[in-house]
Amino acid sequence: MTGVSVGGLSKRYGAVTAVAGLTFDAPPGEVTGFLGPNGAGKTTTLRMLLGLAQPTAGEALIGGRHYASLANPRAEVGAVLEATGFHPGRSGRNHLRILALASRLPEGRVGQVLERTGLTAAADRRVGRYSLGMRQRLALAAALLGDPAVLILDEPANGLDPAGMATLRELAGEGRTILVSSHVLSEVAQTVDRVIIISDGTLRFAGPLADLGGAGVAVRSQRIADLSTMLTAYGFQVRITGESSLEVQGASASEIGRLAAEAGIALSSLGAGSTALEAAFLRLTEQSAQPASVTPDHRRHRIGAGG
Amino acid sequence: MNTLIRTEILKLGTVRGPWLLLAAAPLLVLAGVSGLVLSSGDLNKPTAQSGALAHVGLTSLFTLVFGILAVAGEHRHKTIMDTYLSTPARRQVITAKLAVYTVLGALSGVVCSAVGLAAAASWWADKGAPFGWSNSAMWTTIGGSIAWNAAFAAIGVGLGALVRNLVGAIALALAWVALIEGIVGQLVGNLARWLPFNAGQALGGSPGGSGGGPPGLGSATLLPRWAGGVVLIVYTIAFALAAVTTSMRRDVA
Repeated sequence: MTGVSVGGLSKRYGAVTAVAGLTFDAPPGEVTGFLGPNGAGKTTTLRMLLGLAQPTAGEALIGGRHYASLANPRAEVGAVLEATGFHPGRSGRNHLRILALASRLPEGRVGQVLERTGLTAAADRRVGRYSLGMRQRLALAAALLGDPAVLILDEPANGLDPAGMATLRELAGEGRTILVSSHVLSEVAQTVDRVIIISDGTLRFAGPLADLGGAGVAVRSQRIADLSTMLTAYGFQVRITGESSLEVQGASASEIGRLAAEAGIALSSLGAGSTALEAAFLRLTEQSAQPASVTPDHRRHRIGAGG
Repeated sequence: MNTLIRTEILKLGTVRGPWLLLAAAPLLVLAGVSGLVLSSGDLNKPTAQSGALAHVGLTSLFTLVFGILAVAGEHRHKTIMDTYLSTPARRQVITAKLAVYTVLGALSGVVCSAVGLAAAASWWADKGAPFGWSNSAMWTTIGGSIAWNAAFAAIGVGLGALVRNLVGAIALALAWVALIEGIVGQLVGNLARWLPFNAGQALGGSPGGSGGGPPGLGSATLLPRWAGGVVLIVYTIAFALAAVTTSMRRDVA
């Protein structure tokens, strides 16, 4: 089984520190969400993992080895990067044939990944005529070409529909390591088992999604004290988050709604788990907006760069 | 290495652009030879044949741009990511490109020579002048021109790997040949003959006979043919080494 491990990873571009002492693991058989606001250093980290950029310090390893020292990289790691491109005059099939040849993969794989990504009918058309969605599927086909144990996807949510995200779960179920970056937690919340949250190039959280406080439900009510007492009595974990809001662990939204109705407590809102998740995500990443830790240059980088 | 060379050939075989570029080269030779015959007239001059075939050397401008496409073209279309993801050993990628593009540069020179010979022989026959197939000056010009085509393809690969911006690399290459070598030629006189395009002209000859030719050194003296060849080889190796070493280190964005 091949996992991904990053240790003490740093990358500096002149005065700008894109990644600072990042350490995390992505184990096999799970979908790991790699989250952070735009410019947090996600893409830079993934590029170092793939040997496209050299770390200033630290290591980014796949199965304990550097990408460059993998015997046949495409058979071990598949990557979908935002910055990947295609020659507009070349057909999708020929693009994949080139990659298969370079990686000494059987040419039969080309037809198989085209089939899996639903591109068979368009395979012999020039990529210049492809829609954005088709290009993204071609990038995924390229990543799957070597049937890799590790799949790395940079901001795929723009291009992957719900069915595509479900495919990721399927691939993890086969024992693969899936690392998916995104700047929007809710896009991947339904798909990931674990999350790694970074901001300003540093780690803010790493662990199971549930530990993020995400399994909770956000509730708003004018009678927050009564509600809290009642829910605690039922054995749920309750945390008061404001004058008229609280977060509940261990109960579903419908359960809370039913109990509140029975007790005659009016609720002004009942948020799904992802709302609480998003709140936790924002809380973890918003500290980065403190002026003290952000140079003007850095701020420009955050606005301009994609991940 | 074998796989990488086949990969580079497959890359070239699945697009049209580079071939359209190379296809323009023999047309330039055809036009050049015809233009020379129609304007100068005296085909019995001993240097007339090599002067006509020297147009083959000028097509090295096409193989130069062809070579630039190898690496800078991959950066332009961002296929370089997939290339390096398949083969993290960048040194081997660049070396394979150098090998493939240099050989194709030479082949382009061979095709241009064949077209040039056919055109010249036809014009000579048309004008009733005897065409000397054993004219050694002509064959030396052809050989030198083919080598010049090959060397400029390799230099193009190197330049593309150094500059990486396709438009920038092509603009720089053409501006260098058209402006810098000419201007430097006027400013520093004899030093200019050591520059790549002038070294190429020394090796391949300049159209219209020995001596003056466009667009580098006017009537200033070029290096002897052998020295031009040596200088061009030095440039080729320097660009190739620079391409390999810089591509190893630099981040790919």
